[in-house]
Amino acid sequence: MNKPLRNESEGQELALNPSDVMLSVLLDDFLGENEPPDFRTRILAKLEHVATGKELSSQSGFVKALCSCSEYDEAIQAASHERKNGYGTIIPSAPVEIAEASDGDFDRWIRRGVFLVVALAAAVLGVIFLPDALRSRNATNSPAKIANSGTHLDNPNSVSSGPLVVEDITNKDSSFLSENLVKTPSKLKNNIEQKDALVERSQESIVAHSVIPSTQGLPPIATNISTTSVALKVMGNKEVVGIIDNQLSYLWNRVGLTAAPNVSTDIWLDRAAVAILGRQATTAEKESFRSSKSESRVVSYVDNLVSSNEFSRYWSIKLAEHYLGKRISTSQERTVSENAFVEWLEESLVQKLFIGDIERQMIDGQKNVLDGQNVRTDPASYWLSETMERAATNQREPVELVPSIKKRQPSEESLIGVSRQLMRLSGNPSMVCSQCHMDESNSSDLRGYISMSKTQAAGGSSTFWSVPANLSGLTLRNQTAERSLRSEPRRDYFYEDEEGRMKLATAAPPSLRKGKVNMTLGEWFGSSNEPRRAIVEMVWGQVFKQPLVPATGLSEDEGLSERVDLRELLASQMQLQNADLGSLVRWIVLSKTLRLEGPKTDAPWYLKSTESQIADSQKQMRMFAGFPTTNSFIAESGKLPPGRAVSWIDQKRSFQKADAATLAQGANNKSPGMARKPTQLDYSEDQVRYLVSIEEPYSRLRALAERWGKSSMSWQMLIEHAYLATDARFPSRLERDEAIKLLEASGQDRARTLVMIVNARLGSW
Amino acid sequence: MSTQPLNSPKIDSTLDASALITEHQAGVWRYLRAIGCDQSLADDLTQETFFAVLRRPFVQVGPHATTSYLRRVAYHLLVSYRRRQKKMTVTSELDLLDSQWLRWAGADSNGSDLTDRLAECFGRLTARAQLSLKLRFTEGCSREHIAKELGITEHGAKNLMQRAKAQLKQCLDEKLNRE
Repeated sequence: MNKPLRNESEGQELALNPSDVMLSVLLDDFLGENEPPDFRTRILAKLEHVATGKELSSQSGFVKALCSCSEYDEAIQAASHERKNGYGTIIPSAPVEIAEASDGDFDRWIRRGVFLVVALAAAVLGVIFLPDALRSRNATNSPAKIANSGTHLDNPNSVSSGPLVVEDITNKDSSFLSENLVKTPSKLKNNIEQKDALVERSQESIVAHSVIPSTQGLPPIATNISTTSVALKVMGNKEVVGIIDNQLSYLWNRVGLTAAPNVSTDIWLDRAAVAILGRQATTAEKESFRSSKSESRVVSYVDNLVSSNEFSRYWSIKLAEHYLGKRISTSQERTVSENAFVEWLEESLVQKLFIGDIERQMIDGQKNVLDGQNVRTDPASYWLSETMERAATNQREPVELVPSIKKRQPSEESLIGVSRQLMRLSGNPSMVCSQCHMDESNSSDLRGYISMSKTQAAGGSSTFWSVPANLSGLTLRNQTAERSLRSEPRRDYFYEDEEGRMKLATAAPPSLRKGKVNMTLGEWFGSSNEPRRAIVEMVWGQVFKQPLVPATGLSEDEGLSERVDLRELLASQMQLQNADLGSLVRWIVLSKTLRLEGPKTDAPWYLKSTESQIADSQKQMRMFAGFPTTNSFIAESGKLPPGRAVSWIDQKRSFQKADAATLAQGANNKSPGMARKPTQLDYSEDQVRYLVSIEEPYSRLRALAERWGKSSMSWQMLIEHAYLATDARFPSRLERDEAIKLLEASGQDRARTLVMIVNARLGSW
Repeated sequence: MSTQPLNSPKIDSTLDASALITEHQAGVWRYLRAIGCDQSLADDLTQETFFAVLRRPFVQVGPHATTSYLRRVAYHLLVSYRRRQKKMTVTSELDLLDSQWLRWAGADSNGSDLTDRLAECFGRLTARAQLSLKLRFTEGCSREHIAKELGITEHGAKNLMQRAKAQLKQCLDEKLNRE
């Protein structure tokens, strides 16, 4: 029965639902009682004819062959290949491309051979004539252009006028990067969807679709979706930079953003110098760059800056601030031990030490602290000593530092402080939690419970006991505190096990785990790529003034998965390559985002822009499609990497007690008295969480502004409230003046003006 | 069409070709029908499949592997045939049908289990639903004719057949899950 199969619902030939098509065929055969004929006789006769040359009788029934020998061979080879590659009974093979058919008599292999010859000839001709063509193109540049401005950033032989011409400064050979993005664990689940999407697209077209993009040169994608580990390979610098660019380009395309135009060469040179050395490029550096005729002068320029001693000096301070979680003062004002710590970091950077090794030494410095050694002689152990001391000091205000203390007695508060810092540095809060909490079956000891209950809010955990680590000796030695803990009513803490079940966690110090510990915390810091995430965040934040993955408010529409994947890739590459900090800085600075223009966010622009223009500008910056600046409209909470949001909330809530370092004022408005200025503003927890949240920033903003606007407070005080709420600082003089202008422009509508100010600070997400 | 003479093909003496054809011919034929061949094309490609396999040495690894192997040879021969016939083919459709066959027939070497299951499921349908499908598939009746026969509207006949097919699919899937 050769009638076409029809879909009852649509009345047209079925092409979409395979089960419908197949059911129709089965019903056709079943109800029509169609049975296959017996092929045995005819096939055996044909085989015999081929083997012996015996004539085929007309009764054999073997019909004229449909296929040629080459098609037999191809089919056999394809099937054999599939069998060897484990083509099972479930997984369909990769679709075979079928282009438009050509004449059947023309052997396909001949066609392929001709194609190869033509392609080879084209390649040879390209090699011969392309350089000439490029030279002639450069020669045709008009004199006006040549006289106009500087040379092309990447190609000193070409000329660009005005903004930089985008040219791939990365691997020219790695064109595959434009089509392949980072494939890290969080992307694995999308592979099936990608494949489905391709199938859907292919069904819309007539010809066969292409296969899923190749993973050549990229981390191989695990075929098992449940597997979260991905075998990564060591990539070259150009590959890594290319992936940063392509990942961000992909993100912009997905959310419909257009990247800002490129800046001029001068600005880029300054930007790179600021990112790498914390200062603008000198005239000598710029001249050296311009006079260079090398095509790799961009890379050379960055390399020279990264390899300078200035780089080590600058980034040692940044690293120290990152590790200690506080501002590092100038060298004249530092304590001896603090200075030694910074110098130790600087020396490590000069030696291009792997960042994991630096952290391992730093974390393992606990041994010296707990053994009572003089920490002043061991810079690496300064981190732990300082962190514990500061945590204890913050909790028992006012307590003066006692510089003569050499042996630190761990207390509850200091442990909490250490935990918080470790969470920030490790990129894996659950690993830190596991230092004090064990499986319920192992111990019923309650020690360490407080630190857990206070630090768990800083991050979620999905693999609570994933890492066997041990912070030996860091146990509570305060017997009184331990007794009080034991007498407390038990508070339950749950964790998620590997199978996703919630289980009750029992607090217990790790020192009880004898014989099961196989790695110290410092060793874990050195061997896992998770702590590298924090370094990636730190460097990215230093260069772009906002984190790659903010602590809060980032949704899928804002590139959550792409940004997480990118961070993961950078962290993994650092770990795989045992990379020093300079490599990471180099990758990030060479990315195209550093070449993009920043927004114009001064008051006149803001006043004359429409809301959509402001929103677009904010979104562009947020997605790195424009170079974010310090004046950008980015919420303070959005500038925080994961693990710091909670401390930020705490700081904001307790700012009345905090010191000037917490509530840093604008530099041009700083006076000794103002930092301790009492404020009438008292935040409820709800208000703070609302302000931190970027998901629904405007849900109650209007109501809050109305309330503020109707208060009897002066306008100056209201402005202060707005800035304290959004940026945790007082407004600068310039900002106060702008706020007054805004108030006048809005017709003295205080509520509306406050909304505008808060919008400007928080962004419009 | 090139039917070049085969140069000294080696038939595996250890293989009982006759038994192989007998065991698997129905499965290959039903598979080809299921992925879109009409009966005559399924006939031709079935004989081509066995000829392609048996003209070279063939070692049976196991019954399931042989079933899968024959099916894939048939699949690729169909793809080649369509290409030569200047027919645009979206191979993903074939893949979807192939996957569906695997889902329903699995490792069944001749597809008879699937037919048996279908017969059982068909028996569970109401008499009117069975009649409508029989009219449709055995006599090729139009929807209008079926509606007249059953004394319902054309729209009702369409709904009745749709529901019947949905029940059959559900029944096949349930049986599959149970097994």
